[in-house]
Amino acid sequence: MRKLMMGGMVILSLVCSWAVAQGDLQNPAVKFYEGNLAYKQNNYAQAMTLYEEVLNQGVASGALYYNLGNSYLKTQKMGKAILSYERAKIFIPRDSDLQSNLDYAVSLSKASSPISEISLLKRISHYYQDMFTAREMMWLAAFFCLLLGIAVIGAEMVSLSQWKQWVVIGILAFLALGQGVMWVSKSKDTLKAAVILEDAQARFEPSDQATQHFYLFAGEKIFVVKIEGAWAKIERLDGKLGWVQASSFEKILRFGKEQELQ
Amino acid sequence: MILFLSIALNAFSQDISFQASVDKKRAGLDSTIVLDLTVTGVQNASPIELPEIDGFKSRYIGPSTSISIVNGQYSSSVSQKYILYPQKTGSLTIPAFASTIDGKQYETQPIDVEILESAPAESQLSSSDAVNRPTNLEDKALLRLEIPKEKVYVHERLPVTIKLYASSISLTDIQFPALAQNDFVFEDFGKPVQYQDVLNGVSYDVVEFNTVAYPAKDGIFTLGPAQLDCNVVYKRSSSRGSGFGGFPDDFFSDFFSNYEKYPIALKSEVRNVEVLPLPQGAPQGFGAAVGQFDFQLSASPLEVNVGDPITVKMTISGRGDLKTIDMPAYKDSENFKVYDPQIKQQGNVKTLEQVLIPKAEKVNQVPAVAFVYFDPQKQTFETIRQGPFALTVHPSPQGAMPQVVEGKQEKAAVAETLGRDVIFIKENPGVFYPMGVVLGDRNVFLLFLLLYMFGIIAILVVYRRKVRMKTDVGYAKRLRAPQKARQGLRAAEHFLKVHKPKEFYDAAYKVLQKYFAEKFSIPEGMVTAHDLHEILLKRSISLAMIGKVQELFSACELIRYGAISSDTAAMQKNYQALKEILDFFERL
Repeated sequence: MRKLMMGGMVILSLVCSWAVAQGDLQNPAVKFYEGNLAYKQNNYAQAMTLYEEVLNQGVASGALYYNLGNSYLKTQKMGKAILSYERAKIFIPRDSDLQSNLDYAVSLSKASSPISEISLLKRISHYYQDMFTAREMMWLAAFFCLLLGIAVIGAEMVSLSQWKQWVVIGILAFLALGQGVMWVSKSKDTLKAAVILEDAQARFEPSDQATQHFYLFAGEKIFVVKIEGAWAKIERLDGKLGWVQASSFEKILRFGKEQELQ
Repeated sequence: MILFLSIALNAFSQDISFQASVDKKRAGLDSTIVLDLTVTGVQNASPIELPEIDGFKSRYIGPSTSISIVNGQYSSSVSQKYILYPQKTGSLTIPAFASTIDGKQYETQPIDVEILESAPAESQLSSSDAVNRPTNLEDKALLRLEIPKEKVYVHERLPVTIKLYASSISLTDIQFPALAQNDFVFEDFGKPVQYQDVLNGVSYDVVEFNTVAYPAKDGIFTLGPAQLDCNVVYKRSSSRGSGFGGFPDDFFSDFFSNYEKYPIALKSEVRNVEVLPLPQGAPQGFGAAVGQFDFQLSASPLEVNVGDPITVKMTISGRGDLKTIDMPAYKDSENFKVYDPQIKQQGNVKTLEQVLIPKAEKVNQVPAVAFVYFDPQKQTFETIRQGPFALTVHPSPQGAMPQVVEGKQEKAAVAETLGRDVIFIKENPGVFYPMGVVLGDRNVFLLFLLLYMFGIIAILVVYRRKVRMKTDVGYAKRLRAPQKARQGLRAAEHFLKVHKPKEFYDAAYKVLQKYFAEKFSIPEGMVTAHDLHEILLKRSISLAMIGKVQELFSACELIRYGAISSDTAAMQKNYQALKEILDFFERL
């Protein structure tokens, strides 16, 4: 009986240890810290692998993408580095370290930003959208709608001069509508991608024999219009359209509306 | 007459004053005058009972407390307001009132007022337009030019105060006053100060503008008049009709058209100023400085090599026209090479910086400097002497290059070359999100928005209905009519079941009467078979239905007054008729 109990305890301990080990392996934070350790030992390839393993578990964070971007940058993979930083911006858009490293990576890449060719209104819109996450923008829109509703009810119940009521309601309606438009526009991020090859050629047609239209460089941001087989129709930030090999870029969002584009 | 005010003094070290003022000095027998008894420098005061005033009856209105902080100066006052009702015409006097405050006696000035048969016209209708433009402004808005003295010396500082007084009038777009005068140099006006003041027994809102004038030459001059442009806001007479339901045709047009601005230019009286020449015998070095000044001089370093620069700094501060002052400055000498001075002025301080370079090691001091000015208060020339400063000059080292003197120019900034690299990794992972949730659920948001909008609309509808139920009696009755009719119908049904014909028809009659009275907002007494015929015809109700209603009314009346009896079948038929009638009018 005693031997049986001892045996049972040993088996139970082994099962618990295995479970704990499995739990650690599954805990994304553990992999993250291991990746950091590898990075600090200048083992950037190992760090990248560990960070990617965390992503393969189906979770992501701003710091994770940021560290992954650093690892790629250290290994001179500019396209992947910029892509990772852009992905990190989805989570931590106002992080100054991230912005600094992204600027540095862009300065090292050959990609020129055609953003100056965009209209002022669109540029302001881009900057504004870059300041917030999509969730934040959604909640801001909800907040303004809430205020608008309160103002509409308040205007009915509080005796305020009519023109003041309309000014308040007008401003809040403008803010709510504007924020809603910004949020919808932000959700177009699902179409945004970054070039990962050192350079890629955009052609007029989805064929290797088609005339070349323009060059794309590592890290350059594009919008994916549609995908046909191995080719994708893309739009550059300045509005130019072209066909590129689908393997030459990766979408910034690794999830979301990919299915719709297939 | 002596009045004792119960006044609570506070710890503020303000000057206490006691003043009486009225809102107007001309009034009609059919109008009133508001009398203010104001104690300045206290925080509260109890009201008093006014004694009999010849020619007036009085009534206490209430107190008003005023606290203001202007430029850090705290002031408070308490006004007790009274209405005076004139009892006779003629020139009347509101007597002086006296009060003992904190053991000290204060007394107001008597105020003369003129009482006419009827109130004097304050406006006059122009034949060209239908607006009430103010035409009698002299008592309501006036401009005063004040100077502290009428004899000044050339270049002496002369404070000028221009006060805009306004009482019972609304002024807007008030411009800074203009003082066209070539014989004086004026500083810019400071920030205007607003306060209340009593002038000739009338309480005014005052806007005070302050500046300083400096006479440029001697002689007798006229200062002013000061002119101030502003607009008077007055109400247009409402000659136009209003829109539907008594509301204005258009809110904004009504708002802006009911009030109109009328530009006016107020002019002050003039002041004579005698400008005296400065006395003869000004000491050497006098540079047109008139006023009260301080003069400081410093030099550094005081131990140098031959050819090294020494910076001297002179500062003149005080009250006077600093712009016209000639600063004392060093000139080239056998001991020093002297560079051109740099002169700056900030507010009441004027500074001079100059670089001196000793030419030989024998130089042992920086010479003294004297600043001479004329003090108009003492009426004498004053001299302030600073220096000399002991100086040690060493021979110039062999091969040493002379220093380049660049005046006040800063050393050119050297561009800092900074390295650039990747900012280190983040130590903590932050919040892990499952893939696909970062964009926010659009469907959830849209559902929230939809529900929220419905909620808003529902609240508005309910609220408006509630308000209308309170304010629109007819609407409320119409809404309640079916509910009451259903109650009556249930009562009739009960009497039908227990076979009580009289009660049944009585209930049916009341149901019809109340229902139509509330439905068409007419008195119950008017709801008879005959009157209802006319009412229903006007509402284009079919003759068949009108006939049915009249028939039921007649049946009810016959049974109620005991003319005939009724059996169950007839009651059942009439009950159905009642239900059909109510149903018909509910669907209408």
